[in-house]
Amino acid sequence: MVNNKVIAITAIAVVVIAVVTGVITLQTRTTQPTATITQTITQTVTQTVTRTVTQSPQTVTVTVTTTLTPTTPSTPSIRGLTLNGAGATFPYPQIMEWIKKFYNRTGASINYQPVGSGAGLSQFFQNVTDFACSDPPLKRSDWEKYRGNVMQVPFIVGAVVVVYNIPELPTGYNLKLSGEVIAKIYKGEIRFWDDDAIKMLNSDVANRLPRKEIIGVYRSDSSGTTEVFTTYLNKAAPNIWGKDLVGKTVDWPIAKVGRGVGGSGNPGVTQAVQATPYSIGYVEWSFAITNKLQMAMVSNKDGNYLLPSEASLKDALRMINMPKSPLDDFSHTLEEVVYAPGPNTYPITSPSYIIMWRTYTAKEKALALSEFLKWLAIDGYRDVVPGYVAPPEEVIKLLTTASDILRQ
Amino acid sequence: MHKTRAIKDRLFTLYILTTSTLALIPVLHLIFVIVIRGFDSFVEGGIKFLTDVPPTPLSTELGGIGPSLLGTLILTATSLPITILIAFFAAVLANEFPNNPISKTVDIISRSFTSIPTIVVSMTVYLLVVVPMRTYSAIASSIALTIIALPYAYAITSAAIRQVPLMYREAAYSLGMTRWTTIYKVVVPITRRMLSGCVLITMARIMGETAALMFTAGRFRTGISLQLDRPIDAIPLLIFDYALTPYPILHKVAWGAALLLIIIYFIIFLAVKTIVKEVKL
Repeated sequence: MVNNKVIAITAIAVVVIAVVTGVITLQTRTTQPTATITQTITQTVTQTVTRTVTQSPQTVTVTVTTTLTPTTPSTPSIRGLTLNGAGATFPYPQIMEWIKKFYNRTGASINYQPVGSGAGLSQFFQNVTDFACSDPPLKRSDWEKYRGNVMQVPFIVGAVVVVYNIPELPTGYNLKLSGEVIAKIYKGEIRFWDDDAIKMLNSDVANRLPRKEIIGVYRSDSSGTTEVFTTYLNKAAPNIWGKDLVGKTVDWPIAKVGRGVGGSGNPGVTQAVQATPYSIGYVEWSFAITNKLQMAMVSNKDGNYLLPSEASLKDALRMINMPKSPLDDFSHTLEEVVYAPGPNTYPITSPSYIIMWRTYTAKEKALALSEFLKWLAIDGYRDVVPGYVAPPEEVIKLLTTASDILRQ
Repeated sequence: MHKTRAIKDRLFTLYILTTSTLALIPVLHLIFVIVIRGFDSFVEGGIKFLTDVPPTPLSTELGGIGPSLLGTLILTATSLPITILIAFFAAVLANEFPNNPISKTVDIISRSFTSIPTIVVSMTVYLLVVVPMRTYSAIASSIALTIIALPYAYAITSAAIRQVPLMYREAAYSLGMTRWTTIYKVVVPITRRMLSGCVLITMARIMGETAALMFTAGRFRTGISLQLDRPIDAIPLLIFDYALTPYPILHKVAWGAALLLIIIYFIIFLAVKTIVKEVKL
């Protein structure tokens, strides 16, 4: 009896001691800055040098000296400051990556809540968070309401990919599917994988396409991924895929003919496609990469068949009418970026926006956010997670502009 | 006649045995998978798994779950005592003074609270605590956890108190004890093993709750914080977030975190069960 007591108390004591030592080691570990100022300088300098060399070689020395001065002492310390953000789940892995890198560099913490674009925006407008991330930009009505006070920049770009599971096809071959064909599949009008429409697009593997029924996998939960995907179908094949079939949740025609399978979230759809031979589905690009799903090449507005790539996603953002200032209205870009024109644009592109105030009552919040945006524009896009792409240069400039506005 | 009865008896026992094993298999399978998968993460992460910050998709090192582990311990330490205290007194009130209108109200409210979805509690606490405070915080999380665990704690505590035979109470009264002395000198000592069980179940509820923290905790994962008015993290929340991403390194941490949660709970469970001995009636 006494022995038992002793054992139990020692067990608890061991746990407590382990936790305490853990806390202490963590504390000592985190107080040491992992990046030195010299590193920052050399990085910025090398970047500016390479950039200026391509533009005009004469100004090299001048630029080096000018960039040296602002980066060394005048950068105010933001160590210990905290920023809170909430919003879309889609950019969460990338934001996670940035949070850690930014903390190691500056010592400022960012907490991000992946609660969904809508919830993130409402928390931002309730002043609980300092910034929001949203897959769609602010609605025109919201932008009008906060006009001049709210800033937004598309800061990371992702894509929705069409994936399939056909065991007969050789690995490494990417099926070509046009928007029209995908729409017809999800409508239930194309029933077998060896349908003439699919064969015509894929003449190399036409004889290997099996006569098996196509199972259409869709998101059973409300999702921005579904919205982007159905917008693409509607824009690529308006006669087949009507406006009534566009949205976060859709009344899937393929489910009505009994060949549909619902999956909850990207993991659910990924699993369903992997487990169901002869199925087709749509997921975020990162899920297709990490789970090695077969991706289809989809047709863009110019009629070319493309897989997502850094270049093809950047092109999609270049093709749209991008506002010149973060204070402008971005609502029109939502529709424009899907099925954008251009020979090499990936058609199902979806950028994520960072949304913030122009001024903050707490000055240190504005400072920390400004530093974060500046760091993003200079260093952040070096660490892009697989499945995401940095926005093009023109858009990154908007981040710098927003950073400057916050400093005013 | 006698033989058929014996056979029937055997068959029925067999039936009960198989059905109960069937019910247990998913649970055992779950624990088994977590132990296997989580063990790998433990080996890879080493002792740093308990102290380091979690990895990101591009990380090469596994890192650890230091902030979340500390957060879970803080949240449990703040909300468990409050929950148990309130639940115990509510149960005493409702069982020892059953004819009081307040007791009846307490009883009905507690019973109906058990079926409220935890995400609704999270939203409510978000509106009532997080929005006025203008930040997520450990306080808000503790409040949400307390609201969720209270009805459970109440239900089990009242069941424990009700188990004490009336005879014992009558004996105590006949010796001239007041109602309150009867409770803490007779009822509590007799039910102490069951009451310790109540504490454990409530603790499991608090340690494993995810949805309540969704809009209240604030997912502070860059370091450690002991401030109660600042954002905090918890192990279940980390598991939930990381399981929904496609990156293997994050999945690995989530498996390890799940195993750690089970181990912590198991240690405390064994400790409490060995210290508190059964009272023979």
